[in-house]
Amino acid sequence: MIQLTNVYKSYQKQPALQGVSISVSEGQCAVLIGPSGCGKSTLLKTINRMVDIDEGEVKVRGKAVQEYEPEELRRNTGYCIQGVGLFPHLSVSENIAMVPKLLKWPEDKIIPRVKLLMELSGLPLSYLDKKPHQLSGGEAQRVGVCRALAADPPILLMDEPFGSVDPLNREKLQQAFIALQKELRKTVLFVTHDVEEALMVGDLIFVMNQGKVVAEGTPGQLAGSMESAFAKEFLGKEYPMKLLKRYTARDLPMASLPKDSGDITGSETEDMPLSLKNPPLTENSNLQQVLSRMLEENRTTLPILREDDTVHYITYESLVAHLKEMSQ
Amino acid sequence: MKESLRSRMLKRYGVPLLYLILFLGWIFSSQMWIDMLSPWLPPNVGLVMRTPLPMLAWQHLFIVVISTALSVLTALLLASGVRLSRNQEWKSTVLTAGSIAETIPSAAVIALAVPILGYGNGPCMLALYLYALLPVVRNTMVGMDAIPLEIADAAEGLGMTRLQQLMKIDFPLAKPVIFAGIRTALIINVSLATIGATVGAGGFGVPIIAGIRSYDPILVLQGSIPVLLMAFFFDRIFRSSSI
Amino acid sequence: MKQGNIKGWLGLLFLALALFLPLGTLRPNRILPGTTFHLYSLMKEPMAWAFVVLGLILMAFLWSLVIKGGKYTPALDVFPWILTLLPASLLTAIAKYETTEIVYDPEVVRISLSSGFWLGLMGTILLLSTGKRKGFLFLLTFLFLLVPPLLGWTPYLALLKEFLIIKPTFFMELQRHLVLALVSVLLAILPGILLGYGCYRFQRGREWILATVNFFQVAPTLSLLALVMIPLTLLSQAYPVLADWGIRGIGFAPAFIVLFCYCLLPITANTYAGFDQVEQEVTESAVAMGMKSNQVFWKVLFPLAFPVILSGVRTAVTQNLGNTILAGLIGGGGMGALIFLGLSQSASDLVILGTLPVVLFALIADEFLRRIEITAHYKMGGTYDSAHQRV
Repeated sequence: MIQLTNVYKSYQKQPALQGVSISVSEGQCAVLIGPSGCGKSTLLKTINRMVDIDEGEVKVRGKAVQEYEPEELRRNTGYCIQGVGLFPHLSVSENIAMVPKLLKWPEDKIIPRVKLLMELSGLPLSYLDKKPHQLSGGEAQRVGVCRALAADPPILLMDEPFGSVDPLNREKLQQAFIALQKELRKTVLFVTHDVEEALMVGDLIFVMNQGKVVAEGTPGQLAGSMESAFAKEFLGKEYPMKLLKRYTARDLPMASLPKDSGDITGSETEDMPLSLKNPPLTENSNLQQVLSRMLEENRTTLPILREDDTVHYITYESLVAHLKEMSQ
Repeated sequence: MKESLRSRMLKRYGVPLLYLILFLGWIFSSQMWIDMLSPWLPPNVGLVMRTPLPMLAWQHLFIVVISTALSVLTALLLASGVRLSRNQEWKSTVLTAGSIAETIPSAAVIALAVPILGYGNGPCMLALYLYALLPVVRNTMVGMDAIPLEIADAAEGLGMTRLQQLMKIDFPLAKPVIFAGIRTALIINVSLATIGATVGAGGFGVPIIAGIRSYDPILVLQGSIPVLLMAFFFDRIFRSSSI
Repeated sequence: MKQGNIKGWLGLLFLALALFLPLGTLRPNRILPGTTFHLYSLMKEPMAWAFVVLGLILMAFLWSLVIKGGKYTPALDVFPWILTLLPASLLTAIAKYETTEIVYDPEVVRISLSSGFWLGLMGTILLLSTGKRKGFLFLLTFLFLLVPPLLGWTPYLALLKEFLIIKPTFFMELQRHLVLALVSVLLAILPGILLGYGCYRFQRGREWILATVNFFQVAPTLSLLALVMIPLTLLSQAYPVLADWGIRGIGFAPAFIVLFCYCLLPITANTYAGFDQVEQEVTESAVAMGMKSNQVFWKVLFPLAFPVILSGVRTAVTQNLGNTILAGLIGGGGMGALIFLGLSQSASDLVILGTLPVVLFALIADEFLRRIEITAHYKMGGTYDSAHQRV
């Protein structure tokens, strides 16, 4: 869907991109991550021609971006930036409906689309007539995402969209985005400098530094050995631990009977009853919570309360095996 | 972009100096040029003025500088008073009064000052005094208000009295804005002083108005050019940047 | 009336001063200075008593405010309405001043208003401005002031006499004044906005545009007028057809040109500032959506800059209303003609007669445009806080 081949771009003698080649397939969410000034935002902007490249090729759907009319290209690409850039003089619904209106969609197509997007991103319909200054930062960014998706573009470009939101709301927004992406399966290019955000949101991660891609892979693959010392250092020594947050208990095989009861060090303990001081974890709990609970309760088998109210068990071994599998 | 000190100095003082040279050149030599060109000019034009241009220049400068200086002094005192009181209401009252006063046309103020001060420089200088107050007071108050609260807090925390803050912090930090206000006041006043000729004041308004009344373009030019140069000179000198 | 204490006390001070300062001047004719008189000389006149009584009621109200500690009584709401009558009653009282000492020719004798009256009027305005519905109350005060002259209660009022003498001219000059001032602004709006947009888009040209437009504000208006007159005279002499259209070296043409150029700076500078204050993310989003340049302009830049542009137009209008006075010096008519005529005839009342409409129109235009500006500000997504920062 998106292909960059050997792209170079400089701003007045300052090189921004120095031979970047990436490929993103349809339906993938690719994350560009790196320190400030590594060129990730510039790379993003080459795709909708907000920035024109000096050398190389940028292809969208097999066609070079130069072959499209810039306006046509942009109307078919969603764009979300950190400051959102909602039009202050228009209401939420008018903001979201902007691209469809530019594309001259009929009214009876626009209105249900706007409402659908609001619901998908978790915004109450009562917000339709609100003005941007009445929204909180998180709400504004959700509207920004709706606006980007309004005309159902195949590609979504996001440049640190959740950067200006406080950590609590940022996590909510990430979850909302993940749910949205699951539903809509857009081809997304997501720029961030936050490693945790990258591994939560991305199917594919590109680590950049000084205008070059120094590492690429799925979040799991990046936990394994890497050539680039920079990437290793950027992702951090606790990367595998952070990676645990990406996966949930649902990703592990579950058994209806405890396989082994014992603490992580291997000694045997009694099987503890379900009604403990701590409420049981669910399928949606991420593996970091699972591991933490295992350590806390000193056991290698953990009961999981499933949605159908049955109790299943997962093991420490399966957790490690899963991580190993992801890193291939 | 780095500019050498010399080119910066040139920009800052070069243009005003040019205006000054042109100004002086004009007031001292224009009569001579006109006399030289008189065979080619239409008759009854460029009649010898009763007062020579350099004298008019001095009168104009006198009127403008004295009244503006007094006005600036008063304005700074007034604005300082408002600032020392830290009272928002005084500030808004003064600002509102100022903007209402601004709608009173300046020519009318000159005309109305005549019964009080008679004809001549008096009413003109009074009007100039009053009109220069507004921009300077407004700019001073606004400029001081724009000082970030943290700085004022820090000063207070250090134990500075309001008067010390005024002298050591408020004025220095607001200086660019205050100077912009003084510049505005000067320019308004140079312009206003020309109208003073209608009530018998001196200055460059005399030949301009006499020229208008007697359909004498040379006379008009003789008065207009120098006053234009004077205005631009003051404008340039009081601009802190080089533009 | 509790908030706005300074204005309230100042207003009271002015009103109190009115008691002691000369209220009017009795002149035997237009030219002689005449003699001033104070409040005590008016006490024969019932209207003067009305003024004093109103003043005492005022005092009573304020006293009760102080004693009762500012508690609200319904009577407090009525009070401003009563206050609007104050200047009118004072006016009537002054105009009815009679003296039996010397016999004056009723045809030419006249009473001018003095500092006491004006201070009293200002005091009333200040007091009214502390309450609610200021605009309406100001309007009411002004209308009440017109009542006594219209009803013939003040035949000897100097302003009225001057007005009656030149009545048809007055309205004609007023019309010329308004046309000159307003049409020049209207015509300057489009070029001003274009220039402002040019400043926004073209970094290089910005300084030049602003410097050029600033030229007209720095140059003394009279000299500009004079300098424009010279080529216009030559042109109209060379092409007499222009003179037929009214474009001559004197009159409205040079005034119009100068006023037009003078308006350009506020409009251009404000347009540029208006575009500049639109957040970069907003324009970036607009471009990224695939809007063409003109779409970005009409859908995003212009609506968001509109309140600021309007503020520039407002400045231009109030400036122009004042500057048009100079047209009177060059035969362009307008209220300036009255003012300079009054000046040459040493008739200050004529000068005041010429000044008052200009001030009034400037205040009205300013307020009217300000309200539109504030409405536009809110419509374009401004908030309460940002609204108070600009005005």
